[in-house]
Amino acid sequence: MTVDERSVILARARSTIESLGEYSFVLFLGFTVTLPFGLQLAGISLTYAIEILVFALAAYGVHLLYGYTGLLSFGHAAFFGGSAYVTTYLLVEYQLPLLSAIILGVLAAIVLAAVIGFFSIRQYGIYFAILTLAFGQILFFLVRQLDITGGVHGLIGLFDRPPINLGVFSYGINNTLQLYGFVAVLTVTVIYLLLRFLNSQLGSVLIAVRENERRAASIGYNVRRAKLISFVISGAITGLAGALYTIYLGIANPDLLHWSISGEFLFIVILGGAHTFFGPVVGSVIYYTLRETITTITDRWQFFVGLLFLLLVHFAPEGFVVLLYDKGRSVFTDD
Amino acid sequence: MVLELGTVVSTVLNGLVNGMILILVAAGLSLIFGLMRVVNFAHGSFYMIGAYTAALTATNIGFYPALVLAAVVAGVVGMVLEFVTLRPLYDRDPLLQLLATFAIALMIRETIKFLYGTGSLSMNAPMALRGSVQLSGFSYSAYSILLLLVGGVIIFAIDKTLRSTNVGSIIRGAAHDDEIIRILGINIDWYWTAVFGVGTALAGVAGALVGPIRQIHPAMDFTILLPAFVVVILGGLGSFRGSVLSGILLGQVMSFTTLYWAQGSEIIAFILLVVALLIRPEGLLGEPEVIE
Repeated sequence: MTVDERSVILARARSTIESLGEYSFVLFLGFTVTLPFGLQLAGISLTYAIEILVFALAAYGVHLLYGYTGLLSFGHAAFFGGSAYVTTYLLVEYQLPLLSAIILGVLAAIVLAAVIGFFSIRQYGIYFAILTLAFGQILFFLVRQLDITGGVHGLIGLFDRPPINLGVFSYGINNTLQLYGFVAVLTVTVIYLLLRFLNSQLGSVLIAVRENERRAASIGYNVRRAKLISFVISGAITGLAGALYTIYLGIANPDLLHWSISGEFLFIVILGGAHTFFGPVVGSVIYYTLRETITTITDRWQFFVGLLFLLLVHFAPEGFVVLLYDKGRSVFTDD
Repeated sequence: MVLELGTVVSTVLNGLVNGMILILVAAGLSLIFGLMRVVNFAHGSFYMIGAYTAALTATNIGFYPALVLAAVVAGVVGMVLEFVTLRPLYDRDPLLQLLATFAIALMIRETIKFLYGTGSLSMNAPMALRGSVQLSGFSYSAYSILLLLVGGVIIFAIDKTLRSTNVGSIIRGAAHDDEIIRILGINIDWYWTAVFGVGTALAGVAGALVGPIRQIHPAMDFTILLPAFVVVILGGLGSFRGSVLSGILLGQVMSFTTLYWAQGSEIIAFILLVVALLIRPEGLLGEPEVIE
C-alpha cells in the first residue's frame, strides 16, 4: 500500500468513526451497563470498572483539548487533583451534601482552568505543553506543603459515603455497585453532552483552530476565546473525574496532582486514538487491562505501557480504534 | 535576615555545584532541541543511567574510570535509542515525538527498577576527596571542588568545539536551518545521532558526578529533568552558552531560596519557568521562533 492509499484509508476511517457518533454512543451505553456483569462473571472486582470510567472521563478532558483543539496539556492533573482536594475538604470539614461537594469541586477546577488556561493559551505547541506542566508542578508542590491540604499525606475522606438526596429520592452509594451506577450515569451524561458540543458550531470552531489557526482567525473566529473555552470545559470534565475519584478512593493526596497522572491521561488518549471520539474509553480499558494482567507477572507493568505506546506512535499513531478499523477493513475488502 | 559570610559562601558553593550539574544536563537537552527540535523527555533517564553505572562499577574499576564508563554507557544507549525509536519520527508531529520520549523514559525507569529495585544505591567519593579543603579561612568540600573542575573542563571543551571546529559550525548551522546543511551535501542524520549521543553522555557524566552527594534512586530522572527544562528554556532552546548562563543563575536562585524556604526551591524554579515562557520564551540567549 502506498503512502497515499494509506492516508486515504485513514481519512475515511476517521470520518466514518466521527460520523458513527450516535451509533457508537449506543454501543458505549451498552458497554457501561454490561461491564459490571461481565466483570463479575470474570471474577474481577467491580472497583476496576469504576477506575476505568473515572480515568476515561478524566482523559476526555485532555482529549477535547488535544484531539479536537490541538493543544497538548501536560498539566491536567492539576484539575483532577485540585477538584479532588476541594471535594474531599468540603465533604469532611463542612459535611456538605455529596452533589454540592462535587459541584463545588468542579467549580474549583473551572477556576483553576480559567487561570492556567488564560496564561498557557498565549503559547503554542511544545511551549504550551511545558507551561501546563510547570503550572501543574507548582500546584503539586504547593499542595504538598500547605497544612490546609494535609501536606505530604493529603486529606482523609469519608469512609461512609453519604447518600445522594434529591428531594424525595435518595440514592445510597456506599456499596460498589451503587457507586458504579452513579459514576456511570454521570460519565455517560457528560460524554453525551460532549458529543453534542463537538457537533455544534463551537465544536466546529475548535476543530478549525486545530487544523489551521491562522486560517480560522482569518475567517473571523475568535481563536483565543475558543481555545480558552475549550481549556475551561476540558478542565471541568477532568475536574469532575477527580471529584468522583476521590469519593471512590476516600482520600485526596498530592500524588493526584503529579505530572505522572497527566501522563496517564495522555497515554489513555493516544492509546484509544486522539481523533476517535470514544478513544478515551477504549484507551482506558486497554490501560487498565494491561495493568491488571501484567501485574500478575511483574510489578513493572508500566514498562509495557511505554513499549506499547512507542509501537503505537510508530505504527498506529491514530490509536487502537483506527488500527482495528484499518485491519478489519483490509480483511473484508480487496484493498 | 542578615547572613553570615560563611553561610553565604557555602550557599554560593552549593549553588555552583547544583548549577554545574544542571548545566551539564541542560546543555545536552538544549543542543538536542536546538538541532533536532526534539524535546527529550527521556533526558533525565540518561542522567540516571550514568549515576547507576558509576555507582555499580566505581568500587571495581575506580572512581574516574567509572565516570568515563558512565558517559560512554549513557552515550551509547542514547545513540541506539535515537536511531531505533526517534529517527523514524522526525517528520511527524513534534508532540508525538515528545510523547515518544516520555514513553522511553518510562521504559528506562521501569527497567532500572526491575534490575536494581526501587530503593537507593550509594556511592562513595574517591578516598582523597572525602574531606574538606581550607581556602582563605573557609572550608570547602573537596569533592565539590573536583565536581566544579571536571564540569568546568567539559563545558569549556564543548564550547570550544562548537565555536572553533568544523563539526561545531555544522551543528550550529543545522540548528538554524537544517535544510541548507543538507543541500550542502552533508548527511545530517549521523550528526544528529552524534549530538544526541553527546547530549546523553553529558547527562550521564552529570549523574555519575552527583553519585556521592545525592541520592541514587529510580525517581532521580525526573527530579533533574524538570529543573533542567527550566534552565534550557531560560537560557534559550538551542543555545549552549545560554544554558551555561541560566544554569549558574538558577543554581544560585535555588540555593538561596532553600535558605529561607526549605521546600521552595522547586516551586521557584517553576515560577521562573512560567514567567520566562510568558515573557520571553526564547530565553536569555535564544532566538525568537517563527510560529508556523
